[in-house]
Amino acid sequence: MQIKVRLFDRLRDTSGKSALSEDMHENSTLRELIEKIATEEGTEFKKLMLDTITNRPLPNVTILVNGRHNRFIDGLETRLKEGDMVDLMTAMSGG
Amino acid sequence: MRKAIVPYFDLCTGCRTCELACSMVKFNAYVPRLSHVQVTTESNGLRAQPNICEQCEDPPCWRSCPVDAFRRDEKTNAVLIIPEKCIGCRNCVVACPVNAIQFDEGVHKAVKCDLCFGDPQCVKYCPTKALEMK
Amino acid sequence: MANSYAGKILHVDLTKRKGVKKQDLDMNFAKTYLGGKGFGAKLLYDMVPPKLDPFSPQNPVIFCTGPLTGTMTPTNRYCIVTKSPLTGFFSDSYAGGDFSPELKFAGYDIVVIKGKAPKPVYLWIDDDNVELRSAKGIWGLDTYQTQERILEELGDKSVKAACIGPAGEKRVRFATVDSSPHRQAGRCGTGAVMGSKNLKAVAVRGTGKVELADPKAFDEAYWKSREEIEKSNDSLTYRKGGTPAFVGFANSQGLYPTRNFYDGVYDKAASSLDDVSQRKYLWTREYGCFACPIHCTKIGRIRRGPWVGTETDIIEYETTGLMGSNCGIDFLEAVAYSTALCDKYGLDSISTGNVIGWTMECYEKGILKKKDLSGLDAKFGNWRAQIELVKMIGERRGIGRILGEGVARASKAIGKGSEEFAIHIKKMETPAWPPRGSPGQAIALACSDRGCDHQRGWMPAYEIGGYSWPFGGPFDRLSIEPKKSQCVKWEQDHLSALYSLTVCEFSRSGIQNDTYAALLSAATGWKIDYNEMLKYGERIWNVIRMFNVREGINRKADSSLPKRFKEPLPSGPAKGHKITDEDFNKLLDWYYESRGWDKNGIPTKEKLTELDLGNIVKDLKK
Repeated sequence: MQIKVRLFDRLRDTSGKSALSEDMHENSTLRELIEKIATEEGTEFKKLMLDTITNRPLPNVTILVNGRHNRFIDGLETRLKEGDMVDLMTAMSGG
Repeated sequence: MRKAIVPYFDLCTGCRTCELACSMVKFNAYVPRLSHVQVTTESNGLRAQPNICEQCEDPPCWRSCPVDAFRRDEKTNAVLIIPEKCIGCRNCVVACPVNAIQFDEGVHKAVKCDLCFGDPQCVKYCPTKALEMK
Repeated sequence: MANSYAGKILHVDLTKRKGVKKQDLDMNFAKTYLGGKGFGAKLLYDMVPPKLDPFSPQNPVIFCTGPLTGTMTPTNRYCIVTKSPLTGFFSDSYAGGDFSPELKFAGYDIVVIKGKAPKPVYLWIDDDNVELRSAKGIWGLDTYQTQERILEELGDKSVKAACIGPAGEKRVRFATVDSSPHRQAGRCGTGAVMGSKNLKAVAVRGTGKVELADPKAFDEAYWKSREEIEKSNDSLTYRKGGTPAFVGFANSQGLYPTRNFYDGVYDKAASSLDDVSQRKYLWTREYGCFACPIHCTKIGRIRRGPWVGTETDIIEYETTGLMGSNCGIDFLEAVAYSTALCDKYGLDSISTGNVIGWTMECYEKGILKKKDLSGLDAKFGNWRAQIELVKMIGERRGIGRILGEGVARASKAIGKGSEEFAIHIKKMETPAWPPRGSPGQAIALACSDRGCDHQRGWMPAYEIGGYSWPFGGPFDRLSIEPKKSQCVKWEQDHLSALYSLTVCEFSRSGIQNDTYAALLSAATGWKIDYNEMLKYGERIWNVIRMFNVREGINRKADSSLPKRFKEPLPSGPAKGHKITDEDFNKLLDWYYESRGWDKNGIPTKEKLTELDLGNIVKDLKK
């Protein structure tokens, strides 16, 4: 299934892309998606996303599924479905 | 071999942190008008330019001083004003072609960059490394 | 003991020939209200009787600095407090640059200007020497020209000036006060109040000093703040891309105002207005306000198209929204040009974009015709029309005469149903963070002290971003719960305290609360921790609320959301969301409860007494 991913701020700057389309198995989890992207987009990107020791997303990384923060769904175990939109960002401010 | 602080305008944001660092270390207060580095805006705002003494090889300030109130720092070769000798005539302030010398009205003497005797504070505090001692 | 206050208040009465007076800064007053917003709040409360016409000579314009102004931290904004001609309520307006520190170096914490000069003047503060100078030949100039002329006349390029442009002179109700380079104090029409006083500018030269009570402790806290900024993704994102770095986020979440706030997703290229695009086509240099290591703002030149060579600064996020997508325009250079025009005229670009978006909707609906608009084909997307409308508002000619009154008054004057889509709360034009898709924002906007404002509590961070606040964790995006209202209250108190120092809110993206407390304590010599700072904030907020209560604010005023926000959001991940009256009233009740106010939004005697505002309690009875 195709999962659309949007990248913002430093993640966008580091990867040079603002959007990705990831081919995932049915019922893949958010964790699997994050690990796949972090590996594909290189070391700098991975360092911004994941804690290098635990491999978990860093606390200041925001991961949304269809505009909702993942912790209000099933966290990283959230199961994805065809057409889902995942947003990844490390900063959020007004102005 | 002279040392001087070299500005890089492309890195300068015009924030004037250097002016505050200099005045704090020299005068124990924030008084940017007396800072030995002065940041001006040039080219209609398109460039911020730190302005600071170049520690000239043949300094016009020294040449213009009627009482020879100058000397060189042994370690850095910086051009230093000798405060006890300075009579406050301001010849050096006027002589400097880049206006790099300030005048402290409080003590009625000219003051200038002394490279902080080898540990320049403006360089240390600058957030973008727009100043370098070379 | 030395401290970071200058120690003097400058009073200027423009009506009198010899109207300059200096007063010592009372340290009890300083210790109760801190500075900046706090000083302004108390002084305005004391000086302005209820129902005073904001254009009355008696309405003061109060420039306030804070205890950290003039020191080495990014806390160097100036705060101008006055009664707003746009809303009729309290207003505080901020801008960065280095005007504010110059006031401190000249020896003043506060400058209170009242009265009205018989002919246009500018105030020249040259350290101890204060005089009024004729603005003949300067009145009428745009803000850029004004800066040049004043500096030329005074013969010193190091002078700092805050001035108005033609919009302020002509009393456009959302006119700004501008300082160089490209800094604007906006939102409330302070420029119009200065214009009504025949006050073209305030120019300052300060050769004095600002001292610290504990330079060593301050230095420690300073290096800590530098470290915090380098570790903060928010600060680093601001550094690289400024506020437009968040265009992508807003648009992706359905929060980007599109075509007069009809929608929240811009169907054209929002990315043509973002930081990547601006860096490529506009920016030349990084600009950092006084003592700021983040340097979020940029200065540049338009490099292609009809306006090649025009000097611009960064198009801030808000402006990309209101002058760009809100008007259906994605032509970057056109938005840069019309924004530069706003800056020159001295117009708030948020309000201007909002009013023009409304005008475009009126035109598309046939409520305003070409003949009403001097022949303009003012449909959404027509950037040529936008440029002309900016000029007409700045010069107050044609339709600009009405538009310059603000969208609330303009829609009332035009009628024909146009009031239904005038997007404002309490007559202040809504900014680019609307509430559909982020319901906590509804309370933040509606209950801001100066009108409909995004800088008194920003809820997307908690509702969407998963951010925690000191008294709780993040919120589920669309939930309606008491803690959201409590969070808004905390943001308001927090920002009131910070704005009294006068912190730049973009620096608070990185600098931690305890570090601000440490900087403040080291500068003043007072031991103030963060919890106490919050109490100051709450006190200041309540003084301002009481000022507004005297002017008639109540629950009804707080509840006046635009009709559009009660209609389903057409697009984005929160498609279909709307702010229902039921949800809003719940949030509002919880907000008043958390504030200790009654159900009508009036502070109670107990709350005011708790905050040491006993002297204000008597005004409750009236």
